[in-house]
Amino acid sequence: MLTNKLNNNIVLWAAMILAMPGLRAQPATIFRDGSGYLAAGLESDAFLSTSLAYYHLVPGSRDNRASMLHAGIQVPVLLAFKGEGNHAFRLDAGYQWGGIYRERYCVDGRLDLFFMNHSAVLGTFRPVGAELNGAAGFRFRRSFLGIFCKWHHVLATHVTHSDYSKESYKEIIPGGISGFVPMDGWFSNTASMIGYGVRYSSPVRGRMALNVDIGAVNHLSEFTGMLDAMMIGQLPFMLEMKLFYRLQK
Amino acid sequence: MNSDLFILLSTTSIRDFFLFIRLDMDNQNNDVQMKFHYMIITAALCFSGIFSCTKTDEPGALVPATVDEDPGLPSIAISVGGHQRLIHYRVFGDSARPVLFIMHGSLSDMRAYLPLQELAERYRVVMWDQRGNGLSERVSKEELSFECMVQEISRVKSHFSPGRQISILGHSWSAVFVARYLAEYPGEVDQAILMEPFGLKDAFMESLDGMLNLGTSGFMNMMYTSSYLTPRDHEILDFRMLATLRSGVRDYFCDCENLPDWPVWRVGGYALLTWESGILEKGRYRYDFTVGMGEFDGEVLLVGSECSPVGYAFQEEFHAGLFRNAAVLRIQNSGHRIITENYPSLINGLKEFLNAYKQAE
Repeated sequence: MLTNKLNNNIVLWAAMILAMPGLRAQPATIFRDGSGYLAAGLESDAFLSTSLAYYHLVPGSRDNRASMLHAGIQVPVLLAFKGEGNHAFRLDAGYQWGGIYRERYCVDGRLDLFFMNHSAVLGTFRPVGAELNGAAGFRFRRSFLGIFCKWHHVLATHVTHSDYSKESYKEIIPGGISGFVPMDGWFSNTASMIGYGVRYSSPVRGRMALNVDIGAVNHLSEFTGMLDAMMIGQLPFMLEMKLFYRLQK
Repeated sequence: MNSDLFILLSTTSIRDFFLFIRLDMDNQNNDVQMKFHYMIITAALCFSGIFSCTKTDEPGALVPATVDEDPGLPSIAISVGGHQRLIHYRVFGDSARPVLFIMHGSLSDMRAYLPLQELAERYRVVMWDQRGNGLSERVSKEELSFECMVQEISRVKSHFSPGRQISILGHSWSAVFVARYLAEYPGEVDQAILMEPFGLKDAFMESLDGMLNLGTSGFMNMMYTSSYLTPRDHEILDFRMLATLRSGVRDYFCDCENLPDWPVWRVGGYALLTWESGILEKGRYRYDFTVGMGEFDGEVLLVGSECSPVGYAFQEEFHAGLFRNAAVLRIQNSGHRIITENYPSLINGLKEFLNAYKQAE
């Protein structure tokens, strides 16, 4: 009775649901002091996006473990400067943890839930989704170098078609009306991507620390290759830099 | 099924929730187990909520349905590459008149070309959405090979003009397919019109630069869209590709700030990606469509615009000499979307070229 597509959805969801209770407080690799952190970031989304987030250190962190709750906003600034007025932004909130073992080996994990808003030529889109991010590597005297892997999945997107998009449904039947109309509403599982690459984290000065993720992105789709899809703005690489500022306890 | 499953899961979750609460009220681990159960219930409700959403490949939801999904559309079946496929078509004019094929370019369908039905005063005008494009059936990558695209013209000719020569017009990528058709079936065509084919040989493309403008807000919007709309199916891909017509990424226009209209019902995203990857090898152009083109001894009209990088100057320099009998028509005040940018100049030029108009004078 279940289709292959349904089976795939169940697998995806099962992985995420099972991952949730399995997440125990593992410490962020370098953030163990202070009550929380402000993080300002730059990302390669839409060529340049900026983000601002608050990270709250969860009480009970120990010498080799720490976990944080966080919430933030990301805005594609180049689009904003272009004056498109498309009100694009992303809100996310989640839980991050990390652990240091034998004073050298680190693991780091993060779960985000996000909501986006974006108006473009095809309409207004409001996706909701989740992102799982994990890293492992070596802790040097003060910095961390390792590899990361993240899975970004959009659970559903609310689509409101624009006039331009609705125009494509007109005059299909000569002298008549097509039986199909553009559907506004929620569409399921609209995107899934795997990102992977190298992560570097290090205290910079005083209360500040830097985190850099750089790597490749594979959009899980049979219709586009790594480079072919650049035509539709699907770049096969990613860069994310965040500067953390430790707040007073 | 989606709504039934949603109700079942929701009902089960709520029932379990109340049962669990009652049984564990006195349990010392109540707090932890309650939180765990809340998480399971929330996840189950979200899971069932997802199932009640529309799927992106539901016919007509994101983009208009194709002929295999909408039996109300006019269609014929043709066999190409070993597969029988339905194509969306329209025919204008008296069946006794000579046949003129009009083929749309990439990221398009026949909709923008409908004004050319004016030529039905002298011709039987046949327009169709090529396989994998417009409202025609979507096909596999193998069926979109260049050989298959040429074969498609042959199959359509067999249906509409068996045993008689046709005249044929192709625009952009279709002009390339028409050029190949002339080379492989030189006796089947009376006259051919090629509207701004890109370089028919890789060496011709080396003269072109600056054709892509990635700094447009349209392209940045498309990048941002990539984070939530991944082309997992033809519907999402065609929907996203519709945005490229307004993105200004391809610098083919006289005024990139005010792009000319280009009406479409549905673009063929996968077709364009397949064709473009077919002429590239490790990031460089590697192809030659000119083989055998000298075999065609009929008249060829190359149409080139003033503003497009593959416009008048390009056609005159690189393509006019490939044919035995070619002329170049220059369209002023126009870029690549000639039909919507300067239709009067185009239609007058076509009527001066086409034999049925010349014979009538």
